[in-house]
Amino acid sequence: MIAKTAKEILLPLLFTQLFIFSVAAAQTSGKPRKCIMIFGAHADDVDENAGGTLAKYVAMGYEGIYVCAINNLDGCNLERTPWYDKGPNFTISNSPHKYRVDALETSQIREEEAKAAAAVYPAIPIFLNYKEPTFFIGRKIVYYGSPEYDAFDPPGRPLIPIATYMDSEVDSVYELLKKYQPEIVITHTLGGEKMDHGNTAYLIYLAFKKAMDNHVPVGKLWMVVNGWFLDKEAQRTGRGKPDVHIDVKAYLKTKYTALNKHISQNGGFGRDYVMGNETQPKEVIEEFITVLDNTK
Amino acid sequence: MKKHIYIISTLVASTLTSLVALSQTGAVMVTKWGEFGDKPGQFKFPAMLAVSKDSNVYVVDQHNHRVQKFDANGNFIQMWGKFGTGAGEFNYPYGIGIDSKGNVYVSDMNNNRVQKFSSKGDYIGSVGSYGTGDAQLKYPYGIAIDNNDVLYVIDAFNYCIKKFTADLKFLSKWGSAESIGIKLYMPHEIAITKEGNVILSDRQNHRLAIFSKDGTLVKRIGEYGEGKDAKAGQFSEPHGLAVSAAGDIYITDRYNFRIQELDGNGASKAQWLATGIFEDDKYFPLGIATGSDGCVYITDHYAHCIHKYKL
Repeated sequence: MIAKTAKEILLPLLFTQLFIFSVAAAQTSGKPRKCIMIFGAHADDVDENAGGTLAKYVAMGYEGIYVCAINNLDGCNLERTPWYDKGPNFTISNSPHKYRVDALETSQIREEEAKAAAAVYPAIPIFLNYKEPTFFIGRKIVYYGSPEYDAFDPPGRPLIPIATYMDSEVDSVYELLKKYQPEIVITHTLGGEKMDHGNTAYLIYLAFKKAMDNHVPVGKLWMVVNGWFLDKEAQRTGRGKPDVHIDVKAYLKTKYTALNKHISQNGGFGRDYVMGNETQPKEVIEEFITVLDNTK
Repeated sequence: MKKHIYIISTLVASTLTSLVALSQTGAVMVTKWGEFGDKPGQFKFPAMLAVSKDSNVYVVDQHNHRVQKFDANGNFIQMWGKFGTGAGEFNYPYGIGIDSKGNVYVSDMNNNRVQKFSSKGDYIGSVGSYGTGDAQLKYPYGIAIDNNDVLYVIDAFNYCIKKFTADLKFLSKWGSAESIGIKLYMPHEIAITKEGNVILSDRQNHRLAIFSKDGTLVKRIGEYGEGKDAKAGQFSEPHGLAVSAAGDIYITDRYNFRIQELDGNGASKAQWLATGIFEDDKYFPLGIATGSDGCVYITDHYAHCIHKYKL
């Protein structure tokens, strides 16, 4: 009787121990769980492009990786409020001017905002730290290649378009893919709507291709539906037609909460600034094009 | 025709001269030194500066990742530091302060720490690493040291003011995103008033804020005003702060390209254009410090030089 009771007690315990051991072994094998990686050019692009999808997959148990490619030396205006364009009475200080924030400070502000946004999902923030091609010195815009840009000597790795030609930089993204072995990678569109976005997409594309060539178990590379994919030729041939439709209605709140963390971009009102407090129907579904598929 | 042009030119020149003279009321530039470069005495985007009891001027040479020391006339004495993360190295340093023994403290902004040196630049120690803990920092900006050698640090992205002993041991902190973060988005420079209160430049709200040592708001000073008609007591992105031995407050009024002097109660005493001309794309006074001789020193961040004024 005692032996039977002991068996009844010990066997489940043994199985439990085996289960825990197998989970622990899986976690120490370098691939703890399924992973989704979103690469954005700038600090809020991850949230803008795929925040709902990231939230949904994290809720399903995926590990979320939130990658910012560029160090955001530009793009910070602390006078900005949702009503800036209505005049000085709607700025923080009643000033009629926009106050461009200096480059170093902008980089710090936007990185901290991105970390706060990543924590909403929650996802692991990673910063690739590629240089922004423009920034402000006082109120003067400074362009890459100008004497002022060189004199400022901003911190950061090469510009994204240069990085796409550098094996070392492709390798740095490849190493990330190798480390996390994501089932899904999302980034901008090749040749996208902004140069930095398109070049970021190309860098990720090259690294993903390398991962496939080297038999790294990455899954699919999805790109956002915009940029040249939507030109007439693309529409005619079907190249621009999204094949992935993610219903993110239940995760819009998470997405907008994350967007709201980018205070310098929207005066702290986030998506409300763009949406006028109303959910746009198109935002309920996030759409992507499968560009590379390593699962077939 | 040539004669008419000459007369008009003379009139314009004399008018400009009188305007410049008017704008410089209250201060005379004694000397100016520095230019862009990485040699001794040259600067790349100088940030804050401090003056020791023996009238030496210590300048944070931000984009050269070093500190330079000069005498009161701008003669180069020595420099230390280079880019890096090791002891005595910097990653875009920002603020600077000097204690009663002449030791120099530098906020090593992008290394998230404050380093302490002797007056000769010998490394003594540091406090801080990236994080939210008491002895951690997220981008330290301005620093100040009170009469008891308590070190005050603006911990910019933890939205608080942290206090440390002269031995770099954490003492206390005050502030939050609500109290100094968003409303005071974000404080850049800090100084100690004659009464021992803490004064911060509330840059994006275009005003100053005075707090008690423990963080109780005492008063706010100033309002937004920009352009040639900006009145005394109006600011456009006030940045650098200094308090003289007499208790007067000096502010670099960055986008008005001028220096303002207030008494300890915040009443205006004097103001002058930093370069004598109102030109909004070249000159930006940023750091400011006062010497025991009553002179005022500023860094012109974008013109890579130091100005010294006598009042």
